[in-house]
Amino acid sequence: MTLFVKLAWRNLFRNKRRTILAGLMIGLGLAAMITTDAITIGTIDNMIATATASFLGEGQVHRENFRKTFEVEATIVNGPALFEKLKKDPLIRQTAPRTAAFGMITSPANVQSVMLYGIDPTYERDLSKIDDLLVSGGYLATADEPKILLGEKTADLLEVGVGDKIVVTVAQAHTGELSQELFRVGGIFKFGSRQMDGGMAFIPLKRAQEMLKLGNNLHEIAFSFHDKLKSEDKSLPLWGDLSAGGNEALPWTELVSELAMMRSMTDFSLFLVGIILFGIVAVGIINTLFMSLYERMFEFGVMRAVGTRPRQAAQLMVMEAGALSLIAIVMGIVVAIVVNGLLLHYGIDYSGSEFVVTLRDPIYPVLTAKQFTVYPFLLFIFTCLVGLYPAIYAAKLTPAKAMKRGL
Amino acid sequence: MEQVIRIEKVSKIYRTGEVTVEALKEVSLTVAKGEFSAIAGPSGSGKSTLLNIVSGLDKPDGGTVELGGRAMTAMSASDLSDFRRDHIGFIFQSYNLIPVLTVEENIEYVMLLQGVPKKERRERVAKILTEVGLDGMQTRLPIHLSGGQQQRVAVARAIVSRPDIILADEPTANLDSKTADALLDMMQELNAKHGVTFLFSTHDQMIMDHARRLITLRDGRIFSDEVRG
Repeated sequence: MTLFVKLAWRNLFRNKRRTILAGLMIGLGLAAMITTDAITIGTIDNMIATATASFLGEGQVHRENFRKTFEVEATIVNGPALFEKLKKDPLIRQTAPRTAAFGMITSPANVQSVMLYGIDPTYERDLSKIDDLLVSGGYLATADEPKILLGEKTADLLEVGVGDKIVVTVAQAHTGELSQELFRVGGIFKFGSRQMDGGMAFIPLKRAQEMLKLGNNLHEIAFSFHDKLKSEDKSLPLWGDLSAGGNEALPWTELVSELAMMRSMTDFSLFLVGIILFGIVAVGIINTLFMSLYERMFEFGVMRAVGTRPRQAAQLMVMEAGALSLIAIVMGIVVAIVVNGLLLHYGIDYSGSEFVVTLRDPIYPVLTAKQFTVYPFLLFIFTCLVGLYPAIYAAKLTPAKAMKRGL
Repeated sequence: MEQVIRIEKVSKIYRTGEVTVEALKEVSLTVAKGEFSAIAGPSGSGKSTLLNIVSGLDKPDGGTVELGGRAMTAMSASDLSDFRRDHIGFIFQSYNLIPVLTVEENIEYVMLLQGVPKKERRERVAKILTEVGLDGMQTRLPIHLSGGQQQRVAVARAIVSRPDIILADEPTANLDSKTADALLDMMQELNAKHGVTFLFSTHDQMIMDHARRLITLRDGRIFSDEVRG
């Protein structure tokens, strides 16, 4: 065994240029695989972070079916108590109470329908990024001041700016009677999403509850976890507790199911990319090994003549494939570190682009231990398996024919 | 006298497209233990084919081959490899050492396949290197040796595994006459000292002169079989 390992390793360096080129080709395949995976994870993480940290949260509680009907009276059962409970839950990092209802905003110039959210400025500041995304004016100071935050597109349509007066009209709970109130534009935000910037407005929670005649009831409680992976763990008892009594608690994967679906689709596309890359690598390995075998045909004949078994000849070819993959793995990891190092430094700027969400920050690759252990290991196994083809060919050579062909 | 090789009515036909060449025509031959014999004949007479069939490197189309009492024609590829490893030593025209292995590793190669313990391998290598006059060259790669030295290594590799017979195909073809003569003397000495059977395939007059038995092939048949004193 040691003899064949020695032979395989030394044979590989008989034609250094070919080995380096073949190693580089296989290594580049590995580097491409690592980088594609890292960027995919980075993109998805970026999208998830954008979606959950902007306003959504990592989970939300509503009254059952509220998200389908948006009926004003469909408030969360024991909403305030549930909110207090969530605040004390050790798993929960932040939570924010909200109301949500369709409303009409009227300015002297125009009228626009919006999804009107009542928010508590203090809790909301920690959970969402509304305050960070203001492009003019200021954030809401208290939970009951008569100020409204408008999206940039809504403000443009209504032809209003900070300090201007507008009238908000909503339908009250149970009676359906219209309730109107005058607000001043306190600030204008820009999420970068047409849907949010042209269809959402925020007023203080207490004002919203009064206008909608909700008492202290809530339509929505958004929350985030200390460990964001917990948000995807549907086996947590928390989800069941929050969903009791006619409520519905959903993680972000169900609130924006397109994002979760996209993530599984990228897993599949990564698998396809892997197959294509490994396919190219396979052709390269087979080509290199056959070239090496044809060059040494006579030598193989001699080795077989002096007593090397067919299986041992095959073993030698597989070991050469394995040795080649080890060199390729080192090269691939070095290339991957360099490429991903540059990408980590500069990022890939897709800010402003809308996929499922609107990306705001540059995409950075996310490097994981799996990329540097599992992928190289798979490459090594794959290379050895691919090496079986020339190995079987070598094993089937009859010594006399091999020596004749080698001449 | 114990027979090492016994072949009966061996024939071999090569087909290339529509062309058929009968390389061996019902050749029968026996070689006894300790012989120093040569198969001679012009090019295309069937010398190398006969040697390949005797060694199990090629299969005959008809007839039987026995080496050391075992029928080689019935063996599988793996069994043939093991048989060659344990019973036959090869010396080829163009030395055919493994270029990435040192002199010592080349000589050790067959013993490694045989599973000879390291200590014994090293002892045998050291001894054979002295016998073939290559002391101090064990760590050299074949590329750093002259043709004669490489062929000496090939002889050492062939003999160190203690085979029953050494088959040598034109071993002096690439050597100058002085080196060839020295090599033949050395092989004759090994034959005398260790009793190893040598069977050459050659058209080199020097080998024919050294051989104690000369078998001449012509057109795939044994033309003459002459035993010298």
